[in-house]
Amino acid sequence: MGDNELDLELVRRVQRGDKTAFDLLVRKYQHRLGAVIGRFVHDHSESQDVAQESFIRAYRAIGNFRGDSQFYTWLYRIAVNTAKNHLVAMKRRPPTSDVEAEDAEHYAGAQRMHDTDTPERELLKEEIAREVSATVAALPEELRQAITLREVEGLSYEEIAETMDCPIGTVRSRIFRAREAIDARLRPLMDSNRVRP
Amino acid sequence: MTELDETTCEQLSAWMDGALPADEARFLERRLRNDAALRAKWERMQLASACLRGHEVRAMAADLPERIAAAIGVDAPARVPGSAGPWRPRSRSR
Repeated sequence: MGDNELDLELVRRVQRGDKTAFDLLVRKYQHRLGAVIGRFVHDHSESQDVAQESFIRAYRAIGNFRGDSQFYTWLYRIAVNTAKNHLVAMKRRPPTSDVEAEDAEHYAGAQRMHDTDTPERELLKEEIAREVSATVAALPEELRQAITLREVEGLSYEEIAETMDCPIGTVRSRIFRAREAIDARLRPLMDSNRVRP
Repeated sequence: MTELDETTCEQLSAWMDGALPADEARFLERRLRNDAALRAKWERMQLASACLRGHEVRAMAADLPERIAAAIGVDAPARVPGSAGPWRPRSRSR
């Protein structure tokens, strides 16, 4: 089961009434969705409200999700519509063109409309990315290779085992140890800097 | 806060990749329902994963998942370090 299949499984559980499964989807996608909403709604406090509303709309509509598209793509569309509706309600003009879900997140920098994140928030985003990158760079070779093959190349455990010529159990352990190293750096950063609504 | 044991965290990592055997997955899923610290770890692992995959992220408010949980009518667990700031009571929408 891959990443999309896990999303689909969580969606199926939500459809059967498991709200914890929805919480896991929220926690998985909130920060990515926040970046998308931030392209439309620049005020951070407002963007939090739009994110909340987007997830609530998604929850209410999830019974209609059939898995024809990836869950994130479906969620992305709800968020974009919610953000545009918010701008209309606030008597602000939504952008006339949209950015496709698959492309939107890779437009950082040049394509960004405006970003009114505070310097502290910008710093936090940069710190998160920097910590993750620096931690991976400092990992022992076998851990770095395993996490890179998984996260960057998108290989399955079986494919990584074949590439690294080691048992699948070793792959699982190496990926876990790499994630633990990253988490050890990420956790204090989020504990101390996470923004308040 | 709940102390997370290494075995559970390794299971979470494998589950995230869809690579956890069904029997272990059932155990982990039960634990996830009742363990806020484990869900916070899931959130951080997903954030790291998004960064590694080159997705743009924007750090959202610490209590966003709880606000959403409250809005859809589920008891959100008390916040734990690594996902949030200090817990504070909220009004119920139910």
